[in-house]
Amino acid sequence: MNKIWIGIIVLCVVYGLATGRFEAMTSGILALPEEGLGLVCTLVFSACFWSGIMTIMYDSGLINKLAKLLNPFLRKIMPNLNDDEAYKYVAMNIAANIFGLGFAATPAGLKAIKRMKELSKEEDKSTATNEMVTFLVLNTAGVTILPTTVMAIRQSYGSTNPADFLILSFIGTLASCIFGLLLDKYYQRKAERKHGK
Amino acid sequence: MASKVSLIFIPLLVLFAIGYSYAKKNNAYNSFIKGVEEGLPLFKDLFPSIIAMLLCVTLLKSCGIIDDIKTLMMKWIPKSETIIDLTPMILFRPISGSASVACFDAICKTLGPDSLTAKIAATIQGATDTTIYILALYFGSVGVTKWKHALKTGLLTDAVGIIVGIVLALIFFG
Repeated sequence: MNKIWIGIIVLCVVYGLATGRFEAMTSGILALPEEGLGLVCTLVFSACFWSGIMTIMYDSGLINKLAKLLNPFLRKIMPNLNDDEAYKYVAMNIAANIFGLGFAATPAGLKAIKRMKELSKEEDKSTATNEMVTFLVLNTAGVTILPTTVMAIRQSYGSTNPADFLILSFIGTLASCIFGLLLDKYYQRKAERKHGK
Repeated sequence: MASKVSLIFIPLLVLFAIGYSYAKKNNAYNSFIKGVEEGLPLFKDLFPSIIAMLLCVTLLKSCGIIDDIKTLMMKWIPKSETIIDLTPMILFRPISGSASVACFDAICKTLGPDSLTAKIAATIQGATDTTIYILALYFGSVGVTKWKHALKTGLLTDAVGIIVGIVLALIFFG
């Protein structure tokens, strides 16, 4: 991250100086702290509100119930895991992720991957197991159905309907999840074939 | 139609959360207060990285490099504007949530939150995640260094999310 950060800044400043954009750069940099504060406030206040709503769902057991509903599906996509505890953590993580519940998703996810490591049958323990990869592919596909951050930013700029894209991003998420799982299975098969013969 | 369905979702979700809590004899008010409070430390976590990333985004915009690339590309490919406006956000998306959020903020600010570009960007944000960051966080936590096919699967999945996002947004909002 450090290198990318420095690289972009140096490149931009040099380019800007070479092409004579002094004013725009100076005013941009000077306006930055206030703009940053505004953006962070938008993000944090929205996160606080949704965290409140999600905690209602969490405390009433709704997230747990969703996790239970997800369980059979997870057993299907990770058949070799075969461990109730691991399935439980994965389900909790996915269920919390669906509602963008970061504070509940990450701890459950870390427990899930720790359990997977304990169950790992890899000779070299620093190698990822197939279950770990499947689990993280689901996570990186972005299973969230409520992109609260994006809605909050649009609202802050006076959007007439900041939630109008929800159904589209839901379809997009679904598509990338399905694609991710299929691609993961494809690579698994490929690795097995190479290993077998 | 897509917007209408999207519109009723949030009020219904709030009602459902509170209704379910009431049915389970839970104290919804206390849960809500507790949840909001748990969100507050986020300010301290987010502020430094957002400022750092805004510096990049502001400079990218004000040094004129993006405008120049845009003018150059427009000569070759007409209507490539939108893609160029989205490129910084797409490139940052897998590495840093803060950076891609800062890019999204810049898009809303310069082009308006209801512009086609902003709607495409919103759909993309919803359909993808910070792949490299997530992999590094989870694998790092258990000392796994050989990631197998996780990285390429994750990034290709993001690519599909991005393409599907663009196509859907063009169909519904274009």
